[in-house]
Amino acid sequence: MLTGIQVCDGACDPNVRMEPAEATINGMFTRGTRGTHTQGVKIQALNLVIGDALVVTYQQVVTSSMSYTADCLIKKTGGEDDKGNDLDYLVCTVPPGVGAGLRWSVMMGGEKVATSENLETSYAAPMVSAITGPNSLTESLPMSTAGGQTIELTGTNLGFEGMDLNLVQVHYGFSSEMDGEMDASDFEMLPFVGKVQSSGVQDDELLVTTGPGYGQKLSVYVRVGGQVSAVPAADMLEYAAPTVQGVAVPAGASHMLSTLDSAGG
Amino acid sequence: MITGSNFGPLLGVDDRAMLPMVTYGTRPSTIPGLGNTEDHEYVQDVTCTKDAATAHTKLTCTTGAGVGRDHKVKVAMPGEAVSSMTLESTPSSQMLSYVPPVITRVFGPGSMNAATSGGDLVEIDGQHFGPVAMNAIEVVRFGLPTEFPSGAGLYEMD
Repeated sequence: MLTGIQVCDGACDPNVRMEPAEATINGMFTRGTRGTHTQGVKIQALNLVIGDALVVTYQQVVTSSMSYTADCLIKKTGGEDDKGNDLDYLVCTVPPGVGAGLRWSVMMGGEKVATSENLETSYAAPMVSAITGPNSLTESLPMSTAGGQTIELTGTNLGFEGMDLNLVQVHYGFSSEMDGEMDASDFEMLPFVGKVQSSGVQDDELLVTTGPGYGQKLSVYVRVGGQVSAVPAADMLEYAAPTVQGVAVPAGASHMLSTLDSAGG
Repeated sequence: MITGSNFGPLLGVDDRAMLPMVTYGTRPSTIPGLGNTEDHEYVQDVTCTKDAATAHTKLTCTTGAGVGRDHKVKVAMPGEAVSSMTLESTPSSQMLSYVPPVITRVFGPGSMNAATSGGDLVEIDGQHFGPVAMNAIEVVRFGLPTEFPSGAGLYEMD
């Protein structure tokens, strides 16, 4: 039985006893999607047996697409709970990941021995800090309404290399219509969609192909592992203004003439 | 038909708020004494459609009622319905003109042996005089055929 989860800044110190309050909070991996950052998790459990093959996994309940395996060791504390159970710790290092509401399971000897029914951890939500590329307001080149151009988003917790691209989306819409923090339902209502490029995902960078759209002062939001960036980047996107190259009246039109062959009136 | 670029995607067939707004400007009058020297405001009585395959580059539009020649065309992306901010093209170099008016019949008491003091009614039948609401008739003149090229000696009707 898992009775507590503590997310550590760096590797967890197994010698520091978890306080009771930490046994019930939801842990947040503050830099969780960054593969090079050391992030530990300490799990309080009962009656673990050193020596058994240990597999610790955690995943979202609603979808198995966000499922991870942590690298864990058992630390026997020698203590007991008030019912006489051995009070042990699992000290784990988590891999890069995304998502919120991740519940934990411990397998020992091929058998599931413990799960966290109410204890969840989350990777940090994404944030976009800047946009560069041919189409942002910081650049001079126009963005075609047909899309197909590359922009680069920089920020934090944007994902990790090799991740499932279905778990990262980029939407954008008119900044004048944004009111307050973005949430999941509002995100779906944003009218324009960029496509994250394969091999274009890192913790601090997304390469995105613009989609069809129009307008100016477009605020960009991302959703990574189901978590939406609450506020847009200061940089905004702008599609090019339309240009008129030709005006023609079909042959046989009875009330208008093309100037080229019109006597006018 | 208007061709160009960056007319935007076809987001909703039935949602006119998503279509670009096409306007064209009336040409200043060239009639002596009646000429407006500034480009007029752009009329907006134009309905357009587009299809998905050529949405970004082609608009097929139906003109509104009007008169005049050398109308320059502008395309603006929507629009207050979507945003308070719009992107608008520069006026087209190619222009449109309505067909000139045609007189098919002149009749009425003043059409023959009119009083030299004036005041007789003359009726004119024809086509392309413009919509009533626009009150587009700038001037009606009459005179000898030889006088029309220069305009000298022509009379104006009220």
